[in-house]
Amino acid sequence: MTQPPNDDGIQGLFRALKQEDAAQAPTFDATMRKAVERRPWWRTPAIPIGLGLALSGVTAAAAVVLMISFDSAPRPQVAAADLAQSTAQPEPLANLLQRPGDGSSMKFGENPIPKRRLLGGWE
Amino acid sequence: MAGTTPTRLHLEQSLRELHEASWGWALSCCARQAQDADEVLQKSYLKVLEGKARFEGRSSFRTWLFGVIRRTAQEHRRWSLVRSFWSPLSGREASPERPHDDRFEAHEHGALLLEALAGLSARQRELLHLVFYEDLSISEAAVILGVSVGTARQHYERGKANLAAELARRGVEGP
Repeated sequence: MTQPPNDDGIQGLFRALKQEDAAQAPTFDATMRKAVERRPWWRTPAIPIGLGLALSGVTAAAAVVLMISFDSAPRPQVAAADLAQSTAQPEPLANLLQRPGDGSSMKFGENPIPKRRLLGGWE
Repeated sequence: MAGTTPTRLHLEQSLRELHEASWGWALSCCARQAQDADEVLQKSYLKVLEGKARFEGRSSFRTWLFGVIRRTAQEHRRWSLVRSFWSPLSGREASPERPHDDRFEAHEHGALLLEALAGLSARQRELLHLVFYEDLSISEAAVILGVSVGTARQHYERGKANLAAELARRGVEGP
């Protein structure tokens, strides 16, 4: 009856197989080269960099276009009268204080409402 | 390398050093199909170098890498099945149960061992490969296969007994 091999016998067979496999093994460089070749195109480093550059370029161009369009937009027309009024010299404060009915000479019990308003004009 | 984050250069160097052992393990995971093993190894190397599989130093680099190769081989097998399902007329069908490549049959001892291994369960085959072929301990093999040490030891003992019986049936004698 055949006696089964022990651990050493099994080990010897595995070693023989390992040697045969090693003889058939592709080189590391060949495996790496094929690995890089099989990498999908969208995962190559150039693609995200290119996409990033393109996106930032488009954003910059859009910003420039917006700036130009805002700059050349028609400005609101200001009426000449409004402009003259806004740029006129203000009335001196002393005149305003001496004007009757403005409250500056009001006494106790006197109607604080200027007479010009009650009567519809200067008294 | 344990405990540190390896650079790409270190990773490449480590992969280069373990390439031969990785090839043997990939062959074992791919039912001795050389073309599949080659593809699995390429995908595994890409995963490692692109950081898709990250070594965190919880085990030795070899143990971790073998785990990556094993998972990649499982994914590859699933994709092959899907591809064969969608394109049954493409000519190349997945055949995970085919025991070995024809060119290895020329070598008597290797062929006998492969025939005997084909009679074992996949788990027993993987465990014996890791222990006898890759010279790993049972606990290291357990980490790679994702099982407890006790389970790995059981598979190892049963697998060894079954393999010895299969070899004896094929006329390989002990001392």
